[in-house]
Amino acid sequence: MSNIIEPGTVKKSLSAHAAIGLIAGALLYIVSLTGTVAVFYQELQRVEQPVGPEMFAIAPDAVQRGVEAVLASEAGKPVTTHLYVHLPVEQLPRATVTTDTQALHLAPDGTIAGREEIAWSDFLVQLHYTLNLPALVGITIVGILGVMMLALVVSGVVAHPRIFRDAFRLRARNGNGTGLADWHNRLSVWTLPFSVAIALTGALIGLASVAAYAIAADDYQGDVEAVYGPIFGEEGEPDPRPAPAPNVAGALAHMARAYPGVEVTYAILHDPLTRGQHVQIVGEHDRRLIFGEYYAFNANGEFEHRAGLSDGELGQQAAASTYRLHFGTFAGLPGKLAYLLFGAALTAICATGIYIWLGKRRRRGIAEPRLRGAWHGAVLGTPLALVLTFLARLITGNDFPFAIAFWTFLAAAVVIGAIVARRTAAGVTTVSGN
Amino acid sequence: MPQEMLFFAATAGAIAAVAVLRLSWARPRRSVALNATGWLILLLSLAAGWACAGAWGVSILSLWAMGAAFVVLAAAAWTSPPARRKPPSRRAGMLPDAGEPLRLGGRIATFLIVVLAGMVAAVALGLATRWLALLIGASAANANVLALFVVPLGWTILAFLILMTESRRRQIAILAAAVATAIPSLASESLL
Repeated sequence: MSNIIEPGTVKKSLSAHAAIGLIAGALLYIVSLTGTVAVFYQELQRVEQPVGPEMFAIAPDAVQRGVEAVLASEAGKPVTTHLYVHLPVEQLPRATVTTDTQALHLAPDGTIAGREEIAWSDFLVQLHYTLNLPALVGITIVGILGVMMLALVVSGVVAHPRIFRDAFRLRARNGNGTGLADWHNRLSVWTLPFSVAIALTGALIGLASVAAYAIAADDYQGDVEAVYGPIFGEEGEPDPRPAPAPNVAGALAHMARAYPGVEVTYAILHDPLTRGQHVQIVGEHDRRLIFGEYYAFNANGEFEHRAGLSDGELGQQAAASTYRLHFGTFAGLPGKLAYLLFGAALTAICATGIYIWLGKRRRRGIAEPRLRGAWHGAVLGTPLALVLTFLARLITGNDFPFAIAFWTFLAAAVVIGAIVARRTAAGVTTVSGN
Repeated sequence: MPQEMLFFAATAGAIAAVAVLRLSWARPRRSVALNATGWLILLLSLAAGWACAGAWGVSILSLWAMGAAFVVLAAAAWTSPPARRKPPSRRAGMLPDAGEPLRLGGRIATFLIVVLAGMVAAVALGLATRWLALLIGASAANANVLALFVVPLGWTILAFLILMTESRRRQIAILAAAVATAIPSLASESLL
């Protein structure tokens, strides 16, 4: 590599790497850490609400009863636009119905068993997805962070002329900066495929809204849904006239008969209790990256068509593969544990990058104790804030203001870190001056 | 069953490839033969993974290879002697040293060029790619997904190029060229 890349290019690339890392480092750290924990979203739900009814499977008729019971519980209120039935799977063996306004667990016989209470798990996922900002703004910012992570990968590789020769050199016991740089560089090199996959899929998911708006404005008269139609399937024509609940049981029974090898994960009702209603079943395919295939049924539970995510256009398959690749849910618990390891490495890379930069400046005589203290505060404060909010969930219940508590605690940790480091440095200076 | 055997062999190959590369890169002098062997085993393993289970297979094998590398790295960290090597001192040049001007305006301008103008230019690249794809007969699904992929990838390349370019004029030229690619898409009738 050193023979290929000019020293001037390496220097410029290092500057670019530092610039991106310093501007985006803190948010990248938060997004990496929360993403690493959120890989266990399913398991966390069971920890957060251990008493929910669990089952290996649920009969189609029981699902039908559950759907009708939940819809009946919302009588007199605006009818939900969508209704999702999460069906029991190995890592989350619960049947849960979610509407626009509530989420309820079902018992194995389809009766309503109680509220789903997973506010902390949802807070964690929202923190990762949108940094708790309004949805469109937040997800776009996180998408931009994905781009910045990709740019860090590119600039990091170009700035590292001995990338192969040093690939296995890890001087972990060198405390003067070399060790930290080695950890940063070696973890970066060996998580490269993971980092690229996570950053690209994250950027794609995050920036899809902006890109879709532009495509819609250019070619679909501003209709954003029309951009996604050819990829994930078209929505049916709405017809708001009232109708009885659709035949979800029929759709599920058809899936069991016609597609025994497909694991059904969700039943989705579009515009339920209207004549425009239809049912979508999501089925997971073994040994595929796609999150599933959409199987479309009419309100009578009769099969109509598949969207083509499993065997349609290459673009459909690629788009459907981004989610599980990003969230690490394509290989069961071993895959999630691998994502935990590499996600922790990615988080450490984000943290060490800024420490390396601060260390270099200190060795050149530019001490920045407040900046270093603030970074200590962010690095330690983020996981601590997550733990404290989780404890608050266990102690106070589902209605705790997690987002406000998290950001307040983190801001306090950063400020306190800066103040403590400044005072410590001032004390050291005074002592050495005496 | 043969598929299972092939996938198992591919997994073993991915791990072995990392071991061979470890051996190769630990030598005082480069061995072209060992290097090539390591990369070849890795490529063959990934190809076998693709043949067995497509993108899923490649993803699983990548996890195995990275996991194997982590084990080797952990061993390197464990056996690492306390070194006295001088720490790296390459300047990143992100902030000025003492006495140097801060150039805050220039830094903010660079940030805005990379983030705001970069986003516009990347979206333009996405529209241009989609238009080109439709022009050569791609389906709407493929063209739309291609555009969704090109936006983050194009932005990454633009951000890198802009930050590697010191001349402001050249930075703007790079962005202008990217934005200009969308003109045919914006100026023409729909190809759907």
